Amino acid sequence: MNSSGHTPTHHTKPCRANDRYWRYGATALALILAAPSLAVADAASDAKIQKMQEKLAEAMAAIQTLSQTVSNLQQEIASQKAQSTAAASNDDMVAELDERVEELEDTVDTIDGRVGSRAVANAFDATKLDIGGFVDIATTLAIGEDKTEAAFNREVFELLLKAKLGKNWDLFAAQAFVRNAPLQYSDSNGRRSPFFANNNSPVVTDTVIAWAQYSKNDMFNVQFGRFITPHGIINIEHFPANLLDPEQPQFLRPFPGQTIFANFSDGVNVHGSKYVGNNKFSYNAYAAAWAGNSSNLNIGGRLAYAFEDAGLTFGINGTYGDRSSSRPASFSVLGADVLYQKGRWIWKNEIFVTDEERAPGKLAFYTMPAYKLSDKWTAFYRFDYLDTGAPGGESIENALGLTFRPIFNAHLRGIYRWRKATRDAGIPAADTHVFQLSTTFNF
Amino acid sequence: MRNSFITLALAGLAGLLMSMAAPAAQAQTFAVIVNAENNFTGDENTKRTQIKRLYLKEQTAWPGGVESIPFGREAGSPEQVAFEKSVLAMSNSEIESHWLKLKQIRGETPPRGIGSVRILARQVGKKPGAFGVVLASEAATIDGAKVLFEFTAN
Repeated sequence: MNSSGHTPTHHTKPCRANDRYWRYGATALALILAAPSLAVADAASDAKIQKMQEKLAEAMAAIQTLSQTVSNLQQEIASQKAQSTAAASNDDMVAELDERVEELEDTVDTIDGRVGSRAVANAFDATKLDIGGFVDIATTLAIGEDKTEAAFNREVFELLLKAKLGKNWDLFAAQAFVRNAPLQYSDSNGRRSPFFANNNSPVVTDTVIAWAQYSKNDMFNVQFGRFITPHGIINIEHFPANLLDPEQPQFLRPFPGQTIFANFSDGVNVHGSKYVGNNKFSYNAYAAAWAGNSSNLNIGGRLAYAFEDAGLTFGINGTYGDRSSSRPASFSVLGADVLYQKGRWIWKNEIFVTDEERAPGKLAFYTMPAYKLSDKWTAFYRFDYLDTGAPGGESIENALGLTFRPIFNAHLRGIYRWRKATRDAGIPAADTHVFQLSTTFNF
Repeated sequence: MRNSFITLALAGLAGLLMSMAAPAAQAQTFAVIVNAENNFTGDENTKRTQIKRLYLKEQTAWPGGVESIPFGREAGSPEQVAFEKSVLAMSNSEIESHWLKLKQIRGETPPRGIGSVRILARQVGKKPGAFGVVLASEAATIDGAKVLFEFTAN
């Protein structure tokens, strides 16, 4: 069936044309009838759309409001974060400044503790000035060949002073003030040793060192003035504070004599050192006079090579000069020294021989092993031989000692020394047992 | 009486456990710093040896001729103790004897000991030949200086 209610036939043309007319007519009629209804339907949709538009507008306004609120919140959060970071940074800065101020206060407090209201010493012209020194006190009991006893003491106050004069210039001086007790002991051949005093001059002042130095670099330094004669090991270390035995080996006595070579010299000393890998080369070359013979110049020097890893230092020494200003007395000295210093061991060895004009040659040597029992205690032994070549000039010392450093600035020692002065033609023996207690305080 | 004994025993046990749980001394890392212009190079052993010679004033200039300006730290401070033990590798008495000898023979004094790391940093940053030791954690914050080498010590 179609929409008209008729069943279509497929056999005649007039029926088809009629159907078509009917269809057109029905459609037109339906449109005419539906027109008012469609008009009513459009009006309702417009109202709905308007309502929807209103709601949309409201929603848009709400979204804008929310968006603004979110934006405000974001800004607020960012602002708070920035403030928080700034506050933390300020706290750190304040803490750091506090710490710095505390450090400065500590530094000021330390300086104030050292200086306080006292005057600060200034050097007249030096750019830097260091002052120090030491006091060395020794008390000794000597029991001689004939069992006679002699007890005596010695005090040495020595002032050390170092001034920096300029970039390459320094000055160093050591002034000694020595007091020796009168020594009630004598030997007809003058064999008093350790040498303590000239009985007629119990008080001695001596400018031990006074040099100015120009330093080009480690390899080239020039000293002018009075300096320690740079030979061997012990004479260079020299001062009691450095030494295990404050009595130096026999060939360096009497102080400040010239048995083999002078303890001190007045003149020019060129010295330097250079590292070669782990080893160190050093040299000294001098031209100087001995204080007791200022009219004659001695020339000499020392070469040393240290194997640092092995703890070994080898040195050779030589001098040529004249011992007397009143008569020809030229002399030459050759010497060698070996130092072993590693771990708990310190072992010093020196040997010197001389060739003298119009006098017999001299021979001197010692060997001195020392062992550190602890950081504070050290034990040592020294075999010390000297032969001056003169009748009765041979003597041997065996020294056994124990030293103690309770603090850095104090060095206490107890030493037993057996000195054997050989009997010679017409000269009796003069063996001596020497007991000595000594202490050195540094500042 | 018995309760007291048990209480004491428990307290003792607790103390023992706490002491066992206490951390052992921890190794700290330190740094030897030099001025930023310092161009000394070498392996760590070479650097340690060089620093030791300069600190002990056996040498007075860096290779190349720049005057050495060594700084120590406050005596007894962790930095100084570690430096003496690990870099100088010397006992107290050896160090003291060394300075005593140098003082008496040529009037040398030990390097200035600086307590404040900031003052040390300022000195090292200003002076081309200067060097000193600081905690490794402090080294990175120092202007004008650089680390020559680090070392560890308890």
